[in-house]
Amino acid sequence: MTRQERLDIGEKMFVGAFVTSVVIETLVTLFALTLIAKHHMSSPLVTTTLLGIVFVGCLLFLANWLYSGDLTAWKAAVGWGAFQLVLSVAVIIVFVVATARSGPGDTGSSGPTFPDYLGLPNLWLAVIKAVVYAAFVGALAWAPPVRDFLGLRRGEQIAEETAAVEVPMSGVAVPLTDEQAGAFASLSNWVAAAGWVLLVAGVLRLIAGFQEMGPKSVMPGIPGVLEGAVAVILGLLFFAPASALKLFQSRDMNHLLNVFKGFQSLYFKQLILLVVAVAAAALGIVAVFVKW
Amino acid sequence: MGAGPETTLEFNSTQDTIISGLASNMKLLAVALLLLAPLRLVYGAVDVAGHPVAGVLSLVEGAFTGLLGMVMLKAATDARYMVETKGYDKEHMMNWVESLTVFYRVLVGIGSVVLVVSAVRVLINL
Repeated sequence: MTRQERLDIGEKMFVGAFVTSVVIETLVTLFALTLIAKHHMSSPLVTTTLLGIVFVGCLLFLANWLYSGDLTAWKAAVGWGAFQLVLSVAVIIVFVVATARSGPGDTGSSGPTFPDYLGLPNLWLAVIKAVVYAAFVGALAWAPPVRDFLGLRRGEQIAEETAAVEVPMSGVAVPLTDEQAGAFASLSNWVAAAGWVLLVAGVLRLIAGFQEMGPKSVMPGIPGVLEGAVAVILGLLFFAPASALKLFQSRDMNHLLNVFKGFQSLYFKQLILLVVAVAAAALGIVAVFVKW
Repeated sequence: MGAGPETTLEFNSTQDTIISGLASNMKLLAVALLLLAPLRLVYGAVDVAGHPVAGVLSLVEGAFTGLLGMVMLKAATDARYMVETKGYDKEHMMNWVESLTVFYRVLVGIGSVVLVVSAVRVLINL
């Protein structure tokens, strides 16, 4: 990818992150107002309107400030996204706990609740907002093209090529027969195939999990959603070592070391994801015994 | 490219450090998989009465997760041997590649089963 292509992508990602957040924030606010108005709750109506205006206003202000590439603006924008993410996750937890505490026939209190005042009267609104702000923070904090674009805006020199994309050859050949090199190629194909299978299976598991969440109880679907999310992320992570293995068709020592490093990084991340999977399995066992 | 010569391969100390880190991560992952396996088996066993399809799927996943853990443990040992032995690095590296190929083949197999069962569950619930 050339420098100009990276900068173009960075600008599109930057604009896309802010436009998406503003649009979703506006839609979530309007939808929340409709839901709250249906239940004739005046105080949440006021707070939701005010928060909606403040949130959208802050996003527009940050977008304008950050377009100059200012580092303080960047920190403020990432902090703002992280705050919104934490807020959405807190509301999701409140919904889950409230569902767990209420019995099957319990319709809950008719008065306004904490999520109503925050403009998130429905679990799905909180989930949508959490996903959007996670993507927002991810794009601003970690996407190299966005960092390059913002670096250029504040006057930094941007390298012609991203060094991390290319793994230089050492010139030292790994003495492999064609059959042994074929074994590496076969492993590459299996890793990529496993990535695709996990990706599709994870999406289906995620959908199945969401389907299991009833209007009164979301708990039965949580293990499936967690497992599905883990499978999707894991599937995506598999593509990096598969590419590293493909690169090793050169039989160069540096490319072999790149393979080892790729798998080392993958297994570390997989370990973290497995902890989530273990938690999901434990939660599933608890969910069978506890009447949510 | 023609068949390469059957010469030996010996990793230097810097390369050994990378492989050693890889072996450690693989071992930890194997332990985590071996911990997850019984949990999935228990989950499947308690869930099978209420949700037969999901319960049986969890039992199958539990069994395969255990198998994956054992294969990963073997691959971790192969990686460790690359560091600890002298003169057989290439043989151990090829054993490592073979173990990982088995690991990903099993993963594709169990992933395909989960994919089909999940697709059926999604379609039924539509």
